[in-house]
Amino acid sequence: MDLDTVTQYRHALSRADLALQPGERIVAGGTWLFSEPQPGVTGLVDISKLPWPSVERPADGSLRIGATCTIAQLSQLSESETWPAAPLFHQCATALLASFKVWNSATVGGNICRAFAAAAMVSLAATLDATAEIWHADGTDSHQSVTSLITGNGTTNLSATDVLRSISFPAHALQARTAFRQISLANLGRSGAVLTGRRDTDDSYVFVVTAATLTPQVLRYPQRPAPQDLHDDVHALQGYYTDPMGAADWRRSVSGVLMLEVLEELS
Amino acid sequence: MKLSINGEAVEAPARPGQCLRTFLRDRGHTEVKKGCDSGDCGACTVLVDGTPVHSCITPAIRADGVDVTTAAGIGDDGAPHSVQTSVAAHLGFQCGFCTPGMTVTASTLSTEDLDDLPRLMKGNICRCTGYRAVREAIEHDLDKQKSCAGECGGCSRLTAAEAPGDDGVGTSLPPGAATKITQGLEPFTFDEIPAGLLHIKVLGSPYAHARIVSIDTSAALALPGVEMVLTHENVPTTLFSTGRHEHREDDPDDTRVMDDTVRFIGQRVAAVVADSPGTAEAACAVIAVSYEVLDAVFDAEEARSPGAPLLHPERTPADRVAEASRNVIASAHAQRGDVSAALAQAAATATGTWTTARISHAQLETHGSIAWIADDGRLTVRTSTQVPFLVRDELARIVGLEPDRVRVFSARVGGGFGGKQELMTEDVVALAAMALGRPVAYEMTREEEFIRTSVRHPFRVEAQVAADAEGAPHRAQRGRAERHGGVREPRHRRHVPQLLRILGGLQHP
Repeated sequence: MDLDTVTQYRHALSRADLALQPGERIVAGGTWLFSEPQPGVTGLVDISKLPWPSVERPADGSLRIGATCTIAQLSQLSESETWPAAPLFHQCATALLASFKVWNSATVGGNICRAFAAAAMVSLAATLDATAEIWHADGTDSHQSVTSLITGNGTTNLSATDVLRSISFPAHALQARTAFRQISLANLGRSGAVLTGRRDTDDSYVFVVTAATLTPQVLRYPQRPAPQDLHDDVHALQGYYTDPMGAADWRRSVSGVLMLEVLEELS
Repeated sequence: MKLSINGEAVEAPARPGQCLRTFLRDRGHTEVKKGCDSGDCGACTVLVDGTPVHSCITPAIRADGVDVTTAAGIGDDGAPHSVQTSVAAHLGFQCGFCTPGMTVTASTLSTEDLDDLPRLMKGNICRCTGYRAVREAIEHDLDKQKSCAGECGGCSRLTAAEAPGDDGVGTSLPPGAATKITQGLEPFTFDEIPAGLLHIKVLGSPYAHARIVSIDTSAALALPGVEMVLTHENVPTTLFSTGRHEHREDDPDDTRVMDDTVRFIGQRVAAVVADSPGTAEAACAVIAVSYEVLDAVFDAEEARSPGAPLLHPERTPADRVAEASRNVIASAHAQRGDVSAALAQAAATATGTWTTARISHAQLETHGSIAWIADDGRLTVRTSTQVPFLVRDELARIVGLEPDRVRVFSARVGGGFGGKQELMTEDVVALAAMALGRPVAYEMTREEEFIRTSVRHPFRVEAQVAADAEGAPHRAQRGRAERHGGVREPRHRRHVPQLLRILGGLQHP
């Protein structure tokens, strides 16, 4: 929609351009920012022209995704890459309510920073132990797990002047086998629960609940858990919530059922 | 910025906060529709360098140097694309507002996508037809031989349209406007804009119930481009109902164009008329309103209980408000047989209460209208309505003109579903156009659809059901149905039959 309060629009071409004036907001893909009225926003700083490679493959076998990589580009990795975890990239993209047309503009970094419970790029990052690289306004950088970045349904621990630069997926996670389940009240609708799992080459397991809980919930096991234990652990997680997209008890229940399917697929 | 639109070079500035959809429509490309305005419905889908995007969530400034293709340009040399012809032949549209965007998305698909069609098309919402005919049209365009070998009704209609028989009699043909609709070239309400158009934005009440103590519009009027501000102080005080029916006595007279008392959050407090929507919105923000906040009530049962705040204490049965002293606008009661005795004798009874929620009609084209004074001097209003003549009659009454001095018309309407049997926007555009002598438009935003229009009314139904020993429903059942909602939906009386229908359904033979 038109953001009629916006009177300035500038492209950031270097890190120095990211210093925000009062009323300015960062815009990456813009697909969320332009979908709601933004009262008080008078300027936009477009980061889409920053010279950030969308996809980098460091020598250590990890994967570095530029924050402005589109979801469409990320989803393509499922076809172009041969890591065992490659299918999870497209699967998580399909968990988004947004159509494939939105994927053409929406960015991976934007989806993570917007931090809705149903943010499927968070599901992906949390499942693969991804780390966020954050640029601070004072010129320093910091790193933290994407999981720890998310503090609630739509909130992060980033400050208004922080900029997410990249997301890195470690090699061991890319070499893991993964499984994915998603459910929503309406077929292809906004996710009510996303259940993901990972079995590393050392046969340790990671299971993640997203969309059903306010923040990503990660369960780790040194070896294959007994199904009943996993089911109980999923039920015991905190943060199942109720909104028009699903009741808390439903989210908890389907999470338990579908996580057992994830376990079975990885076994 | 420079770009090409359907192959034509365009050089024009984009506003900083403008979305690509508005930029394209401002250049006359009204085939790009404004639906949800938030990237969900797909009515604004265009190709940017061949890639489909929702243009309502695409910053216009990013279109610098790109090739944009709209629904009017996906075919060769202005001819319809084959999927557009297929949608027309398979009747994959009803109101047609979603159709141009839908065909732009479909034009990017290939035969390999057929198994994934629901996911790929989920970003294009049709409120009218459902999706069976749309799916058929796309499938048969991509793979006619596999789908039906050209034998289905749609495909044979396509053949008939391409090579009509002698006079077409006895042949099923696509509707006359179908091809233009699929290309987005059949105009809806805001697709033909008069020169010199002014725009209205509305300031809504932040309170559920309040008295307006004062309004200061001076700061708004001082903004360049602001022509007028309507408030309760300068509009007619005529009482009417926004709901329109053949007999105006079917509805209560309980609404004013703007009132000095507001009775729901979002109710109009002021309407700014300015040379652009942005200016009007900025002016709304600087209107100073002082309210005396009053007690509010949010539940039908509480509203008719003693001590509840009264919403329309001054209304009388002459206004068709039955009991203003307890917020009851109308009630109906009916009974058949001796229900109490039958319930007492029943082998089993069950009691429950069921509720339904408020539901938006969710038509893709929002409410809106454009008013101007025609060359013959008549007040003329083009509006997105299901009831133009009923709106005309009431509008004449509100603005104080004879009905033959008012013309209200609709061309193609982008869905209504009952939600456009209302007078929601026509009154303010008419008053502004009459005062200023210039064309004035009020196009509701999607948000306004939720806060400022009538929605489907929530109901609460209590029922007591008796059954015999075999479990068969007994003939005696008792029920009570009530319609919720204070004054936001002033169509109360019309719902008396609806209440009786619910109860009637319970009175099993």
